[in-house]
Amino acid sequence: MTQVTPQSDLVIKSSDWEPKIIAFLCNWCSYAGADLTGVSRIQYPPNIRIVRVPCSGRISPYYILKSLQVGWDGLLVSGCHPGDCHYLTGNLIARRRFAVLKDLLTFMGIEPERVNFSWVSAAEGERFAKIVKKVVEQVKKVGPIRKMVKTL
Amino acid sequence: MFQETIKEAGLNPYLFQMTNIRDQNSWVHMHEPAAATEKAKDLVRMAVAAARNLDPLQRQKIKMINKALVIGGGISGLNTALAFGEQGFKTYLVERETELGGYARNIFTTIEGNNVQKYLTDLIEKVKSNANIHVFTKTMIKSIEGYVGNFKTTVVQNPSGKESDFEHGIVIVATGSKEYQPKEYMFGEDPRVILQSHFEKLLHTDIDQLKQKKTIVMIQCVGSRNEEHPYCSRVCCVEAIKNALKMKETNPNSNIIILYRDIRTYGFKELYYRQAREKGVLFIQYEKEKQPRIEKNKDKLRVVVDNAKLGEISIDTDLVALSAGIVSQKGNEELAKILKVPLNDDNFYLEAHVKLRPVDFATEGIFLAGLAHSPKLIEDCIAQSLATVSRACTLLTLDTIESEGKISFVNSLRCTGCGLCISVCAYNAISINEEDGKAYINEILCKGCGACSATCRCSAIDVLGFTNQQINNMIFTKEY
Repeated sequence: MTQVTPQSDLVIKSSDWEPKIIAFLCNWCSYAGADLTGVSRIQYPPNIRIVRVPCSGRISPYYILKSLQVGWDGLLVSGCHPGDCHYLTGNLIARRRFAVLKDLLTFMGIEPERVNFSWVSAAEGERFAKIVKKVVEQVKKVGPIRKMVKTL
Repeated sequence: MFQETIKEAGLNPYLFQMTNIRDQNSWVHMHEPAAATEKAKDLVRMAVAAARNLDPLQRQKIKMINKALVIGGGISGLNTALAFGEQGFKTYLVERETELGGYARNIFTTIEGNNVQKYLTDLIEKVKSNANIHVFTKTMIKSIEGYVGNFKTTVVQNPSGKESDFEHGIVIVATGSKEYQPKEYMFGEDPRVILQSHFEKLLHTDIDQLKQKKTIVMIQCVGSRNEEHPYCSRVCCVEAIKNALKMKETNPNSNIIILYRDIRTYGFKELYYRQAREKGVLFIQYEKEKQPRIEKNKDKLRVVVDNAKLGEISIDTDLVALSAGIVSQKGNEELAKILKVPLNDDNFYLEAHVKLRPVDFATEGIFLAGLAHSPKLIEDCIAQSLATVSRACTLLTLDTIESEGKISFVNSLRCTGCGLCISVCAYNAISINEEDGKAYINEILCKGCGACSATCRCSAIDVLGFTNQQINNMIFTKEY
């Protein structure tokens, strides 16, 4: 007889804290890369929630600040590799923008481990899984976000 | 696919939001059903949040003028124009010089022995006699306005100053490039130091003069692969070997010595390099840091070259042929500004993507071909011209073209006209309206990447289909 999973297993115990990470993926490279991870059945931790954007250049610093403010424990921004942008230069603009933003966030006391930028092409399913694993581990180490979250 | 179904059902296809529970959840968390279920709930929540602010979007239709403008009447421009003309598209060919033909007028044969001059004469004849092609010579581009499908160009004829206007749907840039004019090796000071192209001309027009020359030295990479011009000009090695073989054929007893840094006879042309060695052409390598030098000894010309293995070698010679590299046209900067297309570091025109869009510019409806893009051999120029024609015909054959649905738009009330959006737009889709000083987005050129929106400090620009409101909704689901 096959073992039926008891209902209680579906409930996550509150003591094992799991971070929630928001991932902004560009439509053409990283989002497709994440799809490939699935097609290849490569496993990674279920902590990320994906938001599809047309291009990493679309991602306003506002989204990142807001994400930290509403309590996402970490974030991942991923675009096409430099030089491969579907929109020619969007990822380069993003790279410049986020270099400055990350300095600012570090200055504000946000742990740099929470804020991650990477490049994943549509052919790099395995790389996407690796990056997610790394990001989840990093965020787990620094714990739940407190700094910018409104508590009142 | 889903959007097609929505459209068939009579709804606006943009009223659609997808979340990916399969590829990005169930397949990647196969052994964690509880956590995957939580994730699925979150993903659905986020998709619903985004869907709340979906708008029905429209694609704009604009007319396509089925005419082409080809700038440059060299081998590439002629081939492009002829291919358009033969397919029945009205084509304007604009050439700056008095004669058509471009740089190919200096080339007599290819290394395979094909007669370039005859080919060129035939080509020009075909272009001139094609009723669809209007040829302007001694004519400069004054302005090109508009966008894909609807360009308007003004040209000025020299020296009369007569202006003419015409409309067209696409633009081909085939402005070519030129031979480097050396400052090195006593070029211009001693008549026995000549350019490789001049040597080729002598070979084909004044062979008796050359027959008296016992020793000929060729120097490769003149003005190439140095700080000023770091790239390889591709054609010079082939050119030198072609002329060396021809000279050997004319006078087997002549000594031909080629001083080179690296011989690169591209593709199967390597066979001619071997042939030249078999025929007794001498190849001596020099290093970039130790350029050969020319000494004038009374009436003798002496070339001194330093070879890593052989040491310093002196060669008394009757003639020195300099294989000068290819450099970009001076006018490139001006035309690039008119067309708003980019140039690379060496002032050649830069394609949209070296692999994915090799003959397109980033700006829709503008294409490039030939030496204007990079140094290349005649057969490469012809192949590239035909590639350009087939790319351009995907537009020329249409009656109307459609814009993207998901594009940026400006909230004029918020716009301060700072122009930051213009600087990040890769498609030149944004301009400041002179009347009200606000940013204006060309709906045809915009591809909807959103770089402008994320750059705008007044939040005046948003992207349809990926609005700030929608993305914020998704971020805020964390609070639920």
